[in-house]
Amino acid sequence: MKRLITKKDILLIAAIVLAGAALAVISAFGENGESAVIRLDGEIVEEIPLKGEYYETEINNVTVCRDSGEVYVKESSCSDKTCMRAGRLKKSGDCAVCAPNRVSVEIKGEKNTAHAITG
Amino acid sequence: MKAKKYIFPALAILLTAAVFIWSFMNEKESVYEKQSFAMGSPVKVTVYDEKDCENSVSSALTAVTELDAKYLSSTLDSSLAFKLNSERQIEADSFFADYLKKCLALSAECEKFTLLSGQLKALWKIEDGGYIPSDEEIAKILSDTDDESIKINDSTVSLNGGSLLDFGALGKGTACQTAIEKLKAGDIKNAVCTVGGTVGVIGSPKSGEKFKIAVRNPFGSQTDTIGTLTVTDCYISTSGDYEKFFTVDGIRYCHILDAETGSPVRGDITSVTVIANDGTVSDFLSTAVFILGDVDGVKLAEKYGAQVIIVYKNKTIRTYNGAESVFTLTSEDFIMS
Repeated sequence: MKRLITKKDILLIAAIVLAGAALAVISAFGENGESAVIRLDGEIVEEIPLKGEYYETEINNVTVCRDSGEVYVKESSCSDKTCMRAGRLKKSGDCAVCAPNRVSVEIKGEKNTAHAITG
Repeated sequence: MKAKKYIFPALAILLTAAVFIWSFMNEKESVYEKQSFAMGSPVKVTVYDEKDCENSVSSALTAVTELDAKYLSSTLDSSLAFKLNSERQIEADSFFADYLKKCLALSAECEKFTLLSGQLKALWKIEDGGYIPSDEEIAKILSDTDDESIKINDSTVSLNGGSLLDFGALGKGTACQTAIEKLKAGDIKNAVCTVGGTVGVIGSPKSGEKFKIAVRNPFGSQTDTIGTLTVTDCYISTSGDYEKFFTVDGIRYCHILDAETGSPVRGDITSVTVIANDGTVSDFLSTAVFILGDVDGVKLAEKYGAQVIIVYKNKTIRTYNGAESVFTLTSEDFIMS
């Protein structure tokens, strides 16, 4: 009597399941195309990919710059400089906010673990 | 070769299964997000309902801006608070009169808290680089910071002496709740709203899950966090000495003022996070607990059924009133005690 499923079939099944799993793993860890989103009054005014040469842009008296795959606030007209103290941003969810100038810089990506931050 | 008949159906089923597993593992939360800027802070609304919610989100953001412009702002001349401060007496509408009464009732629970902190804030120039006033300068205005200096007679509200009303310690919590209520009115079931340090949450991000709200690291940058709160249907507020401060001779002067001494609070606490079922209350309590300290502060929070997480300057964290059941430490730089 012939078997319903042969060894070859089992191999094929295993290959398909493995391929599915690999696809899932790749898409879970492979999101590297991150960029920095700059907002003024909550509206997006510019988006800078993290990869690329040195770049500088000024939004409402806040100078944001990209250097070596990181983005940071280089200069701001505000008095508290909280935005500059935020330092270099690269991980998804990293952000710098300049409340006096109503400017925010946030790294976009799919790897945020928390839904919001309090503090 | 009868088995060959089954290969293709089997293959098709398995392929479907593989694609299903793959798409399930990749299931992204269906999210609509919008930001604005109000009350000197970023305002952010994220909705997790799978439906058209653009209008509801816009009206929630507009409600925050309007609440500030119409009632709470100390700097916009369109607000009733601004008018009261400059004209000393105003005719308030019922919303403003009721809100003021609610805030005064909260403030009355904490001797060291005042709604009339405007003069003290200006004296210490907290928003403007900082200034250390003399004891005489503080004493001169300290009597004006007593909440008794504000009088409400039906719809007439007046201020005595040089008192200046300031909703800075609880206005953002109120705004957050206003936004959440607007979303609910628009039939939104699952959402997060952030106004400054206050976060309001309703529903869940995915069925069966709760929201994860990170607590900021007082010693780190704006997105550095120490732990996660797993919550739903509540308001979370944090007050800390790290947001606005100035330093003179190695001493940090923070923006949170003790109404009894008229000076910035200096204790062993660096941040207080409060979880409550009312946004105004959670915002008020985070400030009040910061001023009162852990012993009296936690007792006050208990009256409102609020949970408390305190981060101390020595990098220890304590949870109170049942907060241990929702807080998970994620940073290795801190210890629970």
